[in-house]
Amino acid sequence: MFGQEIQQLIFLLSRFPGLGPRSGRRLALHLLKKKETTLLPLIHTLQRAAEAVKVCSECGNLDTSPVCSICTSTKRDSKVLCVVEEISDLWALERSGEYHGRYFVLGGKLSAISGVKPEDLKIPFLVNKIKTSGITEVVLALNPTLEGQTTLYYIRECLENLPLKITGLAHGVPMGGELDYLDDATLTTAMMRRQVV
Amino acid sequence: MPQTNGVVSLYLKDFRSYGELVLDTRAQIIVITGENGRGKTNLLEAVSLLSPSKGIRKAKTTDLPKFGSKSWGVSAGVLHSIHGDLQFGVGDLGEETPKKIIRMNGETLKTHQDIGKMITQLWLTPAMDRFVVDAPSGRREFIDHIGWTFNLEHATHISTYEHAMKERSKLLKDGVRDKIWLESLEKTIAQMGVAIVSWRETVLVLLKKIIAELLIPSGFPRFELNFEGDIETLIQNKSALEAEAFFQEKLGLSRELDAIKGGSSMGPHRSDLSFLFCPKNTPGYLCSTGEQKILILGLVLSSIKLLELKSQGVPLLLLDEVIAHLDPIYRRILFDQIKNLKVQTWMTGIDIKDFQDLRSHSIYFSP
Repeated sequence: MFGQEIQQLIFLLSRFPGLGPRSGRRLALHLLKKKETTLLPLIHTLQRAAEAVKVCSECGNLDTSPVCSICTSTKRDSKVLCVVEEISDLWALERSGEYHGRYFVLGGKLSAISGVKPEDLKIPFLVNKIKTSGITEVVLALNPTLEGQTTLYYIRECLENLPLKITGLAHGVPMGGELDYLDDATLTTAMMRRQVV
Repeated sequence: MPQTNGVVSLYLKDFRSYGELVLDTRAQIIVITGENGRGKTNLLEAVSLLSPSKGIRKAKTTDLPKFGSKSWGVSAGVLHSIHGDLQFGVGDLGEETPKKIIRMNGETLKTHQDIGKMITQLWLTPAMDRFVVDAPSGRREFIDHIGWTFNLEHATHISTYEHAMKERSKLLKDGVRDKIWLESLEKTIAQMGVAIVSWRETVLVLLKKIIAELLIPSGFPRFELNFEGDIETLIQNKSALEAEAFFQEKLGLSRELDAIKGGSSMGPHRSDLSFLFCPKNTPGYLCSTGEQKILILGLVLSSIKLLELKSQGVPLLLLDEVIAHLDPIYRRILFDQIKNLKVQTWMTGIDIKDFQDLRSHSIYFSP
């Protein structure tokens, strides 16, 4: 039905996170129909991103300089370090505008089944960084999954004897959420950790 | 006939042996009779699909359309004690990718688990005849199913426990002896393991209460249920925190052995539900086929009553060919129990005459 070039384009697009064959076809059609206004600028932007974007050597974030703008910023609190699993988690926390410290992106979570070991997550590098950087608080902002919590416990144990405050994110009812739509585990945790208002 | 919460109407479209079928099912007991191959179990299966599971046959959605059709559908009007009249639809639209869809009042449910909050089902089929003597996993899963129907945390505990156990086994198998990593997993295993066993014990206490207060006084043979296992013994003598610490320590000490044998020799995955048939003081696995059937019926009847009392869903009991191994005395006892339970019950059998004692509470259907 399609030429090889179109088939290859659909195949590559359908492999993007959250997309499938149908959305891949729709996206390909959109790009090809709007060649001048969408496809060619996208090619140009992708090319520039591929050449310019680098992984920050300090925290694992993405930026155009070898050390990212968060790590070089003098306005950020260098004594507080937030450990996250993925860059998307870092971006999510940045969107909140509430956190003003620095980050460390693990790039995953401990998982024996998936073969992800402490070395793969640069945990020894993280521990060494914490020891030598004058950090006073480590926020372990890891997901409340088995692997996330195993990783949290692992890092906490590695930091056990250091003079640090180690914190984790609170669990409970999301802002704007309705109790009726929440899962039972979240509601139970929220009720158990209720606060005086 | 008194109005019972349950399925009040059933409509099948291109489902199994049925092209189209409309049934009025306003009764406490629905008896489906007929010769073999007439589609009795297909009807029970249709009702069983009004649940998050794959139904009584554990069939794939592609196995369910009538021959020659790609799509299938089961629609049911349900009377719910809190929400009133509800309309449920389950089916597959027959698109490129087979997919079971569940709708409530015309809206597609986000997760299949949501229907389990509205309708809670238990069933007994001929495939479960050896329940008392088969592998313990079936008996554990049964109690766990009851347990998480009114405590979803129990399901989370089980999945977390199993996941952590797999992670630990993989580390041990691969020769990884990272102390902190293993300790982290073993801590989770111990916490979840004790929570699982504690909740199973809670469920068992509730079941025993129903058996003692409802089943036995109305003539059901006396029987006992018990969970046996290392953790069960542990929590009898220690607090939950002490039991967790002890379990975690044991896991730490058995790493090398577990690396060789795989899994772990201790934990709720090793527990077993045992039966005792009191009239003969005989363990369940030594009972006759008929006595075993009575034991499992006792468990199922007490469980559906527990679900009726504890969950907010409409309870449905599906009994496929259950009277096959029962003599006239046990049949009468069973029928009395079903009438007393006041839970909508769907039953199948060959001969309508076998169900005459239920006529005051039943409607009959022959496919």
